Amino acid sequence: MASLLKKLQSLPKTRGGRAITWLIYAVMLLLVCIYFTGNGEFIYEL
Amino acid sequence: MKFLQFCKRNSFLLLLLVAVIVLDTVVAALFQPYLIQSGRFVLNDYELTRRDHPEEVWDKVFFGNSVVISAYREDVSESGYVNLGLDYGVVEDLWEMVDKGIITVGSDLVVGLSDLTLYDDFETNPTYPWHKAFYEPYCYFQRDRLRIFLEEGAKSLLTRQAPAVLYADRQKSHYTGSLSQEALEEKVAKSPYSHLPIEDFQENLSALSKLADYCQRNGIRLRAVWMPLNPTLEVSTETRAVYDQAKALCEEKGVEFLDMESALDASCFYDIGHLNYEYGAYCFTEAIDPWLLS
Repeated sequence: MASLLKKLQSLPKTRGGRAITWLIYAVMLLLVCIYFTGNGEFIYEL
Repeated sequence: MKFLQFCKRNSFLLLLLVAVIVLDTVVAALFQPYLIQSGRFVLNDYELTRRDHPEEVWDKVFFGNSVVISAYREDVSESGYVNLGLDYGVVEDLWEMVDKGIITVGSDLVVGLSDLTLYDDFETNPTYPWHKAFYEPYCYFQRDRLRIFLEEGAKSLLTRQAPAVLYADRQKSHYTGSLSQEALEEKVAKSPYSHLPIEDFQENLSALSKLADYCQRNGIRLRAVWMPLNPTLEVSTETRAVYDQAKALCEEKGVEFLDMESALDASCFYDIGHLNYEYGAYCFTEAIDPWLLS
């Protein structure tokens, strides 16, 4: 466990690790966008 | 130098911004065609038109609001015009579609006009793609559909069942039968759109003017048709004023203007301006086809 934590902590220091970090943050931000309150009932009129 | 220092200091945030933009663009490129073709989502009228006419360029287009949807039948007409009727559609919508390159018209564009197609404060469907601001992420703009996609995707992974395809046969809304005279008069009395001042139509008239200029520049023949109205009802002076201004503008811009206001009898109508699909739409399509083909 300790070695895994150490590995994770050192990850952002490498170039690939930084890229993964950006990707994870970007996905999180887009998920926040998706889970905003929606457009309302208008489009569900059938 | 200062700019470079600023970039270095904020490199994490700047690169995160780049990552968000790239990822959002990838989601848009992958999800948009799926949204249209999958049958899993309630599509708006623009998307339904796109689903049924996937070609990049629409050579002949008949634009309007729900009145055009319920009047012009593509399946009956021999003219080959795409029915671009949109629920709550106004001329500004058409202008934005053309201006932003969302649609490309080939040779002919017909605009089905009525007072409401020119009304500036008409409600609109927020999912029409031209309402997306340039700074708005696609994932935010399509959040309703993406949320369904993610949640149903997760559910189908867990249950190992394919997601339900509920809307593959969905068509644009149209009307059948006719309202009784009593119900019709009640509808007119309750309508908030009968006595609107002419000032409330200026932005759409200006959009029509810009559209005429655009069509002239791009070799597209633009024509306008004033859509039929139920002859059992009296046209208000305010609606007449809108008609007069629209006609005058078309004449000024050299746009052919066809008046079909009194072309059909009451049995063709569902209500004030919507035709019934089983009879009125046939009559309208039959009546307008020679003009569309000319």
